[in-house]
Amino acid sequence: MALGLVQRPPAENAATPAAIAPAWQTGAVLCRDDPMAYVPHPTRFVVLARCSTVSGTVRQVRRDPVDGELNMLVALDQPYSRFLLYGNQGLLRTAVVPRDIPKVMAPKVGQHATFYGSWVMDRNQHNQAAMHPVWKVTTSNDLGQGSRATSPAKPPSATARRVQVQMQVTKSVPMGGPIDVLVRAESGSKGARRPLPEANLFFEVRDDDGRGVQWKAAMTNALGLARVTLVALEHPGSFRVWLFVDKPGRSAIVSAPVTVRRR
Amino acid sequence: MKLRHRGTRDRPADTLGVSLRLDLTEPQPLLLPPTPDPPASVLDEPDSTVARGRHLTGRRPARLLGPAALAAIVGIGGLLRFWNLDRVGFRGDEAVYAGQAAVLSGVDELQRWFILMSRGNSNFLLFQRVVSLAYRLFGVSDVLARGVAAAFSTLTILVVYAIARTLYTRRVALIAALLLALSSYSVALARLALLDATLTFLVTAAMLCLARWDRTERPGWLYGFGACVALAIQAKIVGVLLLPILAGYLLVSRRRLPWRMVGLTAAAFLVCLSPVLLDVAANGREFGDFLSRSSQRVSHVPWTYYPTVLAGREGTAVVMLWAAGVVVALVRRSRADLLLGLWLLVFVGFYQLYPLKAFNYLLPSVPALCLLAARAVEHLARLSVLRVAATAVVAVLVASGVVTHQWRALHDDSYAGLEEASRWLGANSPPRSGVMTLSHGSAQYVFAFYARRDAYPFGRFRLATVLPGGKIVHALPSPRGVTPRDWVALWPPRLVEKGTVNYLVYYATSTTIDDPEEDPLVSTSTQQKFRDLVARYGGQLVHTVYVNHEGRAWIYRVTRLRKKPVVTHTVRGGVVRVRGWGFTMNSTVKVVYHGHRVAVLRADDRGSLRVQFPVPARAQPDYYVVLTDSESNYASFSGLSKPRTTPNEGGRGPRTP
Repeated sequence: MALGLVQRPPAENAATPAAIAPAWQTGAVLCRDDPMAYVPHPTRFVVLARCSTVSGTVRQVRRDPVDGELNMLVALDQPYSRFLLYGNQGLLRTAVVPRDIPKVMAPKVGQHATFYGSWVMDRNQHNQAAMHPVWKVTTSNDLGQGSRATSPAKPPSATARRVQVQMQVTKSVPMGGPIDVLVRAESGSKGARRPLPEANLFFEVRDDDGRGVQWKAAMTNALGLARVTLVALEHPGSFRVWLFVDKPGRSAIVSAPVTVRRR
Repeated sequence: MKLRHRGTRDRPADTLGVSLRLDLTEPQPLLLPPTPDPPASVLDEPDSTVARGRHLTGRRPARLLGPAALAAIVGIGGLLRFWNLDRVGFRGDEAVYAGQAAVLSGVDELQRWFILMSRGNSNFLLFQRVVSLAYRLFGVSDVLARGVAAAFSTLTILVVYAIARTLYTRRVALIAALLLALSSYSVALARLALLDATLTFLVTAAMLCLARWDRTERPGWLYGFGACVALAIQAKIVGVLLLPILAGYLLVSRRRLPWRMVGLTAAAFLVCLSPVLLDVAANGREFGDFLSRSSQRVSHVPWTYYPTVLAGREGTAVVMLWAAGVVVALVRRSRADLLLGLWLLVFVGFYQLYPLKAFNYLLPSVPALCLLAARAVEHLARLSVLRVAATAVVAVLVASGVVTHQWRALHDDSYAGLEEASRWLGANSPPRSGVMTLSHGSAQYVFAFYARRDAYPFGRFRLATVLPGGKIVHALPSPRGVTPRDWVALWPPRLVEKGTVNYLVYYATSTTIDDPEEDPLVSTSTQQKFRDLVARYGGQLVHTVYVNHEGRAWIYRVTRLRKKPVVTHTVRGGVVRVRGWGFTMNSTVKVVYHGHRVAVLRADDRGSLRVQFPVPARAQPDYYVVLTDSESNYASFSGLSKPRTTPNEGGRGPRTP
């Protein structure tokens, strides 16, 4: 029996925060015009408010190996809990996308924190309310110390922070063919480079218009290497593979072009 | 409610000598006296003796004109339905029905993939039995199955004509037949080997019986109605909706049937339904299983789904014309309108309320819509010159819409590429290989039908899956009533890792090809998961199917049976023995210890390997043994120590950086 299903439209943008979303607190960080930029699989979300601010106690922090995001479960403070939906069961899911991870200081479990991000409904999670993405987190300690509120974790030395990333990408592939990506990550200065093992890699393929079409997360091995295969099931055209590399205190972004040809 | 029979306009009842004017507010006789069938010439022109006299002078041309016009209409309808039927290969549901028909016709080879039962409890194989007769005569082919559906759809034009002749006039009959013959929605579905054309024919035939019984009072028509209902149920189970139509008609018209007539009608119904009863009795358990699970199927679509489908496939002008027909029927409320109104109300109402929706479900309602629309057109055309002009404008608009949508119906290539992919696999893959493809529950059967390969679905659906060999796998119950994900997350990786599935086929529908800016090739979560599956198991693109120079299907061969290779090792007597799995099949694997090559070997056809080498003289526990295949997939372990005089028993487990 053939089913004719009508798909829902992709993520819709609410220009201003609605009554169903917490208000935005200005001052700490700017509101983003397009919060869904750099978000993997953005069509799973319905944006209820482009920018919102909530606070609560962190219950869980984990890096998702599948999509590379930093996920946090938060028990919201009383004023915000009314914005949760039935599917949330009392907890808010928040996520920092890989591009923002180096800039966001992750709170610890049990800490009280304030989250700045986009308030969405996640259709893949039984229509739970979520904050996705989060691009700023401040903890109570940050507020007390003032200067740490906007800086990431303890800044490592300049040498240690330097990350050298080489990415080799198949330049031209037929539709449906494999895009082989080879990554070599090293740390240290030129004279004493060492492989960077267990670095988090996040690949995003974007089309000419800057729209993300494919995402993948991976990790370097003990030799600082990673080999990833993407499948070029895209319409013919020019694309660019972006790679976001991060390891605590270190990060890098590289990109390379790839052309998908008809045959 | 006042129901009027406008015999002088809708149908020439007065000329039969019996007034059928009916007022339901007044008590009615138990049964109207039987009326003989009027001669065709009387039915054609009821209005006046003047008109009849006019016809008498040109009797021969008038007599020839009607059949000639009908023949032309049926010819056009048939041409649209039969022309270039093999342009595009089967889609999933068609393959299922054709496969079942092939099994019924004695092709035992296909029993491995097709069971003689509907997984969705949607039908009792009537269409398949008819197709099987054709298969016995001409052999198994896709065109033949579609030809049977097209034949039923073409015959429906004649039945619609007969209904309109019974209820209205010959002019209305010709217009109704023309509207149905040109209906893009009907043509599109008639060109597919689906059940709907057969169901529609039987529903229309049943309604013809009911109409004839209503007009003639001959009980044979009612028995015929009972038989048609039973056959319609066998074609598709929703044929049972004809019973509420009869009940509704009897209630509204306050007609009562003698017990003898009821008994004989029931007998005709049960006799024709006996194959179903025997089938259910023999396979009651499977039937119950399918019923309980398939009844949970839900389409998450807005309530405007069906209007959107009809407008998209017929054009706004035709839909407006249908709507005008309904409005005229509501205004006039004749007994003929009652029958057609009930027909529409029951079928459209049921499908609008039923949670499972599909583009093909409304087909049984189309004849009723065409009949009402035809009556409205005829009614408008004879009122005044101005309205004739308006009717002409409407006709032009409708005709222009029909041309556009007929073109689309005849050139629908939604599933183009699946047949070609299947045939390529049939010719280029080992006979025992398995294939997996994106599916809403049935697409995999295209590969079973054309390629005779074990085929598996990848997708989210509630239908049971018949595994090759006949084992039935029901969809797992899922929390909160969401569509199960077991054929996305559970079974696909298992089947690939077991080596049951060797080929993965991704295909694009025409919409994703036509509008690349708005609709990328991979957009849904399921499509993304399938693409991940291809990448995870080293899918090697071995063939691309092009249709009109556009890629439509991509065939990948699985090259490894694990996401990442895994190795284990033991050290015994100064010798390292390594076993590995999940390397690229038949690839060369290099074994390197701390930068020095210690062995080169070949993985077997499942990507497994065994190798042994002496513990290196300068072994250090921190040094890695790395096994890398030709596709740069690797696995490694460490922990080797310098060989001792006494054998070092055992080693560490697998460790992959």
